[in-house]
Amino acid sequence: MSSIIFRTSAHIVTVLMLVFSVYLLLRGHNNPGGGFIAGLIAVIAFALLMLAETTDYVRQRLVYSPAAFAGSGILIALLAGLLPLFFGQPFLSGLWWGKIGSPLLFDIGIYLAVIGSVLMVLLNVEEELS
Amino acid sequence: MQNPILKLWLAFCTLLPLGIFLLIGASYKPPESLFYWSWIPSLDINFSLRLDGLSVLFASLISGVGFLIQLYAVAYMKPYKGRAAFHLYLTLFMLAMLGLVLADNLLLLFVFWELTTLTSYLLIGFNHEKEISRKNALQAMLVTGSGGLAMLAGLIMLGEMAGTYSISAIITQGTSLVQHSWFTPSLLLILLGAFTKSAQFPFHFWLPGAMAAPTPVSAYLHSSTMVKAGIYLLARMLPVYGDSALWFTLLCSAGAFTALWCAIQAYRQTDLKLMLAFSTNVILGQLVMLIGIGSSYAVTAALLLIAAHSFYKAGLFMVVGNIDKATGTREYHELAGLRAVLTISFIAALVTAASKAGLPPSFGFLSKEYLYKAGLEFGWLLSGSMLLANAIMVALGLLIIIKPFLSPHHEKAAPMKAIEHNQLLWIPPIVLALLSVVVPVALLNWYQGLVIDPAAAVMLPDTQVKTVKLWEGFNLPLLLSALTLILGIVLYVVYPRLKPRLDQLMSGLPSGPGVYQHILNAVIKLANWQTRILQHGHLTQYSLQFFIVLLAFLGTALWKIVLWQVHPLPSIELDLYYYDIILAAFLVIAAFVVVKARTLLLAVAALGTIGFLTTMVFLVYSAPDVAKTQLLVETLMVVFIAIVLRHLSAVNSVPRHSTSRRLVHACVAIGIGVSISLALWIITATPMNQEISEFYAQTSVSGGKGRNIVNVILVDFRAFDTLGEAVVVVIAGLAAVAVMAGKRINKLVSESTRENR
Repeated sequence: MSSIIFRTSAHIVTVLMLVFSVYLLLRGHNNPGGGFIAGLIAVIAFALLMLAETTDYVRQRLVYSPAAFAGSGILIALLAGLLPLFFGQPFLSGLWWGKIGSPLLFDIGIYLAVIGSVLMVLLNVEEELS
Repeated sequence: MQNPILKLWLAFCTLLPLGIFLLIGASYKPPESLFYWSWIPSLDINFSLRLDGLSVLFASLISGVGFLIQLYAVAYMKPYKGRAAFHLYLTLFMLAMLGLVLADNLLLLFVFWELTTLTSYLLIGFNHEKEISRKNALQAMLVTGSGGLAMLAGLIMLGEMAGTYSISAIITQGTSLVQHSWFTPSLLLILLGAFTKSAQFPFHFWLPGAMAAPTPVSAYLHSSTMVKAGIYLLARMLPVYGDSALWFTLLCSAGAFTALWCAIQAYRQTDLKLMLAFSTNVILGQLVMLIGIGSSYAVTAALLLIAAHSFYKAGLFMVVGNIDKATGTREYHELAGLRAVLTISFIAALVTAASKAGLPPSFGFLSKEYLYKAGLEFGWLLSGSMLLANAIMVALGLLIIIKPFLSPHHEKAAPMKAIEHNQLLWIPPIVLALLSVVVPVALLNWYQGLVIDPAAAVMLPDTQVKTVKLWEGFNLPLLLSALTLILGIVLYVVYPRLKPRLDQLMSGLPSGPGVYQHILNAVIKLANWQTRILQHGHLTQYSLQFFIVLLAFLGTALWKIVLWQVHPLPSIELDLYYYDIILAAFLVIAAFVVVKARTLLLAVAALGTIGFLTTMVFLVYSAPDVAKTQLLVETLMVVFIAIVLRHLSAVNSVPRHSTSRRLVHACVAIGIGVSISLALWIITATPMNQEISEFYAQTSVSGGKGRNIVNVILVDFRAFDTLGEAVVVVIAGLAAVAVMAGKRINKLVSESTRENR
């Protein structure tokens, strides 16, 4: 895994994949995509980076721990669920202001939860084995 | 008490019950006041509270005695660690208890019922460094908790019979439910709940066991609150079940036997606190019996006894707590001459013990008179056994007063220290002692108008109760009272000789805790056995078990269809294209490669191929989102396996199983394959109900504002499911990390591969 070509291209591909995952996340409501798929793509992007560099490098780039991502994802999804309660609607009803709505917030929560929890396992497996 | 936050917290905990007490007094308008919030209307569960005669009696006892207990605990718990938590538990328990007696919905009542079980577990096990505390707390929780579950079944039956879960609505139906076939089962189940909670024989043993708790807990839970919850439930259910003969027989026999049996047990104890604990059992037995009788006199007696007992028993418990504090022991034989240091506690003890013994003009005397009146209506057996139980109570009262307080202090007795400079230790018991006298002497009319009449109207809707009087002239009950007193004094005098005899006589009998321990051990054994069989930790065996179960269910369903011709196997017009055939062929080849592969890398690669081919199938049948997810999951699998293989080159050969084992695997695999194919065949041939997919297709844009139906379902229509799944994903991630923690993964992997060989 120390090939310079792989390492250099991995950085570029990771960035591209992350951008693509955000794109998938945002378009998901009307076209194929969505939080879950986008989250998986982001995880694969980080996995690529991890294989090219080290787990510590990935953890540094993430800034926050994967568990924090997972937890905040759940909290954001919950928040999206609780918002409608303030407008007199049942838990998790969709609220819309033009093109922006609470389902998008919910999807962002799912996105973060998937990234956090899968990365948590991935980085740990790599660390425990090496 | 330097910490200002702790000070504030203690003040809050103490003043809260007082506030609730005043609030109850202010908001109570006889005959009843209702508070209603809708909660889960579709299940007929509402947060509805009702304040009527019966609940006002219990609620004011809970909050009033609760206030005194909190005051007492502030002083008593001073040297303990975690006293802030203690007051929290006590407050939570009190709120749960209040909810229980105020709830006007059967299921709400059950929720609070279980909350009292949980919070009492925390309180009984408060000294959790001691094993006995933990054990007895668990015992109390298991006994009352399992009774509570039986009661839940009974309450649901009752609710379904009556067609409503509102208690007040059920009570207005009165005895009309007798004809229903569920009447007897629901009665038995509810009794099971009440008997376990109120410590009736043979469930009586948890109550003395719960004495492992700090004294304020015993004074509160085991005198006036928790154990009275069962009594409250029985009193509530009297209008519904009261007419049945079974109710009368069961309650009277269980109550009378508990009273008599526990009275004898109390007489045998040498620990003052245990004496009080068993005598609480006695009172609970008498109350159950009175509610079983259910006559006008019996209900009056029960309503008097509930309050009288709460006052004197809580007071006595606190006095015993003070004795413990002053001398460090509660053993009868080690105590003497306490009057010198516990002067005010002695006065409180004197008055409350008099009430316990039933001396006029105490509250205990009054309730005992009415107990006899109620018992005499039903012959000599009940009144005779009550007479014996009450005589033992008199003897206990004398035992607690005479030797520990009055006898001169001698060398062998435990050393004493003065503790009464802390007023909070003696104010609460003296207040309770005062109430024990003041209520029957001066406030009886008030008590009648505010509690007895409205409560009796709830328990006995058709009967008018007579006015309670302290003095009704010379009559038979008074004679029985005098007899009780004489017999009690005799029992006190013969105590030193009779007790060893009784101990000898009863030593052979099986004890409640012993039987409980046997049952508990058997349950643990069973759990261990089934865990050994099912949870062996071998991954291959787990998947084999899973597929065998799946095969069994699928197989029986298909067997019925094929053999009995429930549905004739439909014929399908195969609409095949060349790419369908190519895909299928590749899938079969890849599957064979997986089975025959000798190295792990090949097996994984072939398995990955199957995954990607499946993705193709989804693509061909136009399900882009599913295909995409499948593709990504497969990719991640490859990443994971690549990481594992990179570090663990040792596992890179597939272990070879024995022929017989391979045969079993083959049979299961073929069975699963055949039945899934058959099932798919049948399912695809039956016309699908298009309603749901059409609904989603139509409302996706209008209701969910999105054209991607899959995504709209995920984040809007069924977002609650998605939220749950996301939580599961996160928990699975955390669990995986926890399993891997501590660098054990290498060991785990090598172990599991070795075992498979």
